[in-house]
Amino acid sequence: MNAPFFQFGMFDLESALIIAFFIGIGFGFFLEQAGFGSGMKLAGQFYFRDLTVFKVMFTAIITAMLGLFWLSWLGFLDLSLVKVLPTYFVPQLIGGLIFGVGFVMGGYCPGTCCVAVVTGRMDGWIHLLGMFAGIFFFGEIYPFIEGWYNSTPMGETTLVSLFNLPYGTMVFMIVAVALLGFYGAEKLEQNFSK
Amino acid sequence: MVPKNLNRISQNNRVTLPTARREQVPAISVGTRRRVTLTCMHLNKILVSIALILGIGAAIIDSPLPNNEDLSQIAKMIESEQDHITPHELALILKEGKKKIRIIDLRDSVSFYSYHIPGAQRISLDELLNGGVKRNEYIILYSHGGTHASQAWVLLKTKRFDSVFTLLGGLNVWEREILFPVLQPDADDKEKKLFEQKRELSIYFGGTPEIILKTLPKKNQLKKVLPQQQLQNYYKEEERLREGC
Repeated sequence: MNAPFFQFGMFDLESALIIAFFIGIGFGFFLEQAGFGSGMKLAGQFYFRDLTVFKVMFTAIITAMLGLFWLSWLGFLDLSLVKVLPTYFVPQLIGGLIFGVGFVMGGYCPGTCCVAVVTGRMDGWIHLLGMFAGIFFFGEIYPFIEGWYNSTPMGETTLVSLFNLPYGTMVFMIVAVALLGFYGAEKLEQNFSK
Repeated sequence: MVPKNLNRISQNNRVTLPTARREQVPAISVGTRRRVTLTCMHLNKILVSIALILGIGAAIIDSPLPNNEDLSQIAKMIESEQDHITPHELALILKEGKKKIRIIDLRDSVSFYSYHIPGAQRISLDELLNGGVKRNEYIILYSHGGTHASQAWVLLKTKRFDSVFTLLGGLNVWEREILFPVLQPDADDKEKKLFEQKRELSIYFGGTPEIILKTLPKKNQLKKVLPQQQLQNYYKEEERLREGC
């Protein structure tokens, strides 16, 4: 058995889309169960009152990271076939800032705003419309900013290649940072929710 | 009807549901809530411990790449002839065009541009081992005779490439069997049938099949041994030439 399954031809594109549909439903369900269908909950992290988003996202990161590392070591997964999006430093930095401002203003990220929409929240609808307006606007201006969009390319950069550290050491460091982050988040929540 | 436990909940100001729904909500006692909190804390500790153990383990083993393939397994594959495909099989795969394959030519660029198997790519051995091919591809390696291809096959196998094969006999056999097949006059029915298939493939790949109708007397390839007297004369002549005029 070899993963990534799609890359090794275990199912075709149609089946992949059906599988993606169910994974998407599962993703949405757990986002909703974590309370991410509420803009108040998401905005809470920016006031340090409720850092659930931080904890959930960082948990997902270290779970996926440890899973990939150990599955690869056991020979179940070929890491060279796992898609890594290439880095374009400056455009992605600006994109990240725009994303962050939208997140703080609207109280949702793209995934959670969809969860808010299906749970019948009006602010979720407004956010979703804003998101599509942004996508449309970007699509329209893309021919003019294409050069800048592809500027400062860094290729498929990972933390391991950037810092030139062994994989295992980097994995351990991220786990340590995450656990310390969780501890700090709990303390912040206790102080700011008083 | 007001449930008995409502007073306790109301005192804590935790439930503000309308009366009609209060009856449906099962009351959670303080003890249960404390038990749930403790279980969550317990679960958190377990998860933190698992993450820590896996993180420390990762730091110890250092690389996520699996250990190299067991060499005895590779030896077994060679013994059971799972390491190659024949030119005939490759020609059929290419003609059918259903299977997605990657043909790698390991010869030099001059040889590659003078002729290569249709669809082949020239990749050096170094490129091949450093991301030139991927593990989910069905790879066929070939060189002139097969030595380089076999060496590359072993190297890729140690890097856990599953679907990698060499072309039996290399391009030399491909030319002989597929491009320029020959039917000898003394061929039996089985060989004639096989030649018919090869003839079709040869034409498909732009080759020239050949049918020999009559066996020609074989020329003696060995040089005639010179008689003793002639040999002596030859040496004398050589000596004279060396002395100069």
